[in-house]
Amino acid sequence: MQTIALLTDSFRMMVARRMFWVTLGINVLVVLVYGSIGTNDEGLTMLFGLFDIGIPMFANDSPVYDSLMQGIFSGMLVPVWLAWIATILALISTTSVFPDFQEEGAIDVVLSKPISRWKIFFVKYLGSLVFVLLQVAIFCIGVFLVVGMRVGDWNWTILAGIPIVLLFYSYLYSFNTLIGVFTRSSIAALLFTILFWFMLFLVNSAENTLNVFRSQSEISVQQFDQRIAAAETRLERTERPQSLLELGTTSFNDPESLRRRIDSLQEQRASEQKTYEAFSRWHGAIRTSLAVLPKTRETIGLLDRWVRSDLPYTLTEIFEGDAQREFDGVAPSTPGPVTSQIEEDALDLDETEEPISRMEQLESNDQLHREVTDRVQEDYDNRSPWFVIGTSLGFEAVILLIGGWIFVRRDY
Amino acid sequence: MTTAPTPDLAINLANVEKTYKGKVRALRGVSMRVHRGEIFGLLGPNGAGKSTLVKILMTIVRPTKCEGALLGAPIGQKDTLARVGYLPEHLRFPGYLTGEQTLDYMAALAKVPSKVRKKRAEEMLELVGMTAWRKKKIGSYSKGMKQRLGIAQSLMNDPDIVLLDEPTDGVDPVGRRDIRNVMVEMKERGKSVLINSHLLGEVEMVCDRVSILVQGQVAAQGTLDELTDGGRRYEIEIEPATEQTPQKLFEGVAALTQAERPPIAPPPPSNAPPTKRPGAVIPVWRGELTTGEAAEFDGRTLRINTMDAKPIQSIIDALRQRGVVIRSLRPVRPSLEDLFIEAVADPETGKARAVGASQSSKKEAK
Repeated sequence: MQTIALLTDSFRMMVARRMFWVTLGINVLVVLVYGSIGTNDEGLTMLFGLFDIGIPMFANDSPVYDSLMQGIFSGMLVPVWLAWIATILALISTTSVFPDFQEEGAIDVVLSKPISRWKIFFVKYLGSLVFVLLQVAIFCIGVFLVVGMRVGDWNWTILAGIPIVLLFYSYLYSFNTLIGVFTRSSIAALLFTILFWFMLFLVNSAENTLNVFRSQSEISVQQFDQRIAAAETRLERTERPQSLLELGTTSFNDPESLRRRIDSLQEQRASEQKTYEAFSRWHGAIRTSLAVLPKTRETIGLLDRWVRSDLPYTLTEIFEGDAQREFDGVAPSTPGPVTSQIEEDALDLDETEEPISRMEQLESNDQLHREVTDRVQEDYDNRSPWFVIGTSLGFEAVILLIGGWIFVRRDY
Repeated sequence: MTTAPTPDLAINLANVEKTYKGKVRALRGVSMRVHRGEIFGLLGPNGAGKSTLVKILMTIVRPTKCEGALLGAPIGQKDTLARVGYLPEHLRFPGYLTGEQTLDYMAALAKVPSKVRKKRAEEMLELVGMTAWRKKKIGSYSKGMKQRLGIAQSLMNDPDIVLLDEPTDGVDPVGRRDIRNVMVEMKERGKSVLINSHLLGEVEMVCDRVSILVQGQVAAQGTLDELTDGGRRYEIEIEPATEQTPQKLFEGVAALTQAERPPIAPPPPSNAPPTKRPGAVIPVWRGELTTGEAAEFDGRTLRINTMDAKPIQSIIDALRQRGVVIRSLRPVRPSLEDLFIEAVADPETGKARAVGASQSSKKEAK
């Protein structure tokens, strides 16, 4: 009875705020714009057919269109709109809940009732999440309906966005609650939460950047290993007696220059190995520190991971042209991992002496970039959702216990 | 916090102490008893610790030391609060709720069953005269209306005791009378009321017993009769003072005093009578009669600290013999305000003691 009364009060408080309706209005608008992306015989259309974009691969509700729509949701709308802009609006709306509640005359009357302070604190906290719950639920259900009606794909995974975004927000709001209870100031609570969020962003970004560098170094070391192995094969082949048949197919290399080349490659590999170890060390350290912090980026990324797994194309594949190439019947630009290519290149060691054309250089960089992206993505995909959510909730629990302890022990 | 059960007591406190951070000693060993079925007034100057004491009872403030019981249960027990009503000072309700919703919300927190709440809310709104405003948002209420609603919410759980902190703050005279009636009605139903108010006149009208807190300690406690007993006196009012009146009065009273000591302060100098100019301040003359009663004269009224009528007869005779015109004679009981002023006065200087709680010294803090 008391819990329901407190939750009902929280609901009434939220819907009485203008910001609730402003955010809801924007949410509905975003869903409407999202739902206005359609297809016809020629390709994509915008604003319910008002503008033709005309990309044939999207025509007539193709699988690419399905991937595009759901990719936009999980890869763009949730991380950008819900996890940034709507979150800021929600924080502005809910930051005053605890400071206002603790004002003289307001809290006295509630504390004088036969209800424990811990219960008041936690129910009030959960009640404040009602704001986000309602907004996200309306948004995700809207997207679910749009995708279902537009594409015919009734993907229930979209609705996982509701708990995911709620979890993400709860990490931040727990900190907001702690500061709000401690300082009793809405402004201080908002500012410190944004600072905390920025700090999380920096740590998450640093982890991601170091992960990219680490993967690059790892690939580089693997490339050197393959080059060295190829050179050693070549050396071995050069040094042993050859049949007449082989004489006709094998390049003649000077064993001495091959040895020098192997030495040079080994030196470079050793150097790259050191770089890789340094990045690994730093990445490990920052990942360890992140283990006790809420994983905002990874939590939001879970949705993209789950939604993406059901789709024929990822948003990256659509934007980078893979889907278009497949639609055109052209082979993908990257036949395989860059490391396996190196292995083949390395066999023709003579070519390494030749200048690489600008186009080849760009293609090589592009392949490297994609492989690094793939490895980093794979690394994130391999992280257990239970670990991501569990450790984040652990942090939230500790913060809430501290906040609750202050709330319970304080004289009002 | 354990005490023997005292079924006739609604509140039974002993040695309540509270020291806030910064070593501010709000309460220094307060003991207080409120009987069932009585209206109890908690008085004191600003910062005396009244609200702190009430908040300790309501578990809003944690005591440093506390022995006692509220409705027979140890102080601090949350379940007891289901039988207690409370109106805090500076009450603030959420502006987005209507009067009706507020009462329902507060009653739900007080564990009033949902079936009872609606009917009870209607009764309480009727009681405080807010029925017409029940569907309006509190944001549109005046201060007095909010206070009326506050009273209503404090009674939603049909409490055995209600603690009202400045209940008439911002309420118009009609509303004040209504609130007084509510308190009296509760008393008639055997419920207790503890009222914390600065409006001494109102407290005096309804309270059976009072306690005056000064700097965190009980300066006086008891029924109004008990507390005012020592201050009862007769007052003899004479015709508006003339140049000769004080002198005549002095002469009249002097006949009743011992010869060797001046009866009433030194007589006014003949060349500068205190009442010569309109509006002049006549010094208060104080002294003692031969019968031992203290007396004082301010130029218009002679006050004799006794409730015995015999010595008064002699004084009247003496005054009349000297031609002093007596306008009235009446027995007087000190008002609550007199009591209050006396209680808060510093015994050394006679002036009101410093406002606020005391700072504990390092030695005391240890």
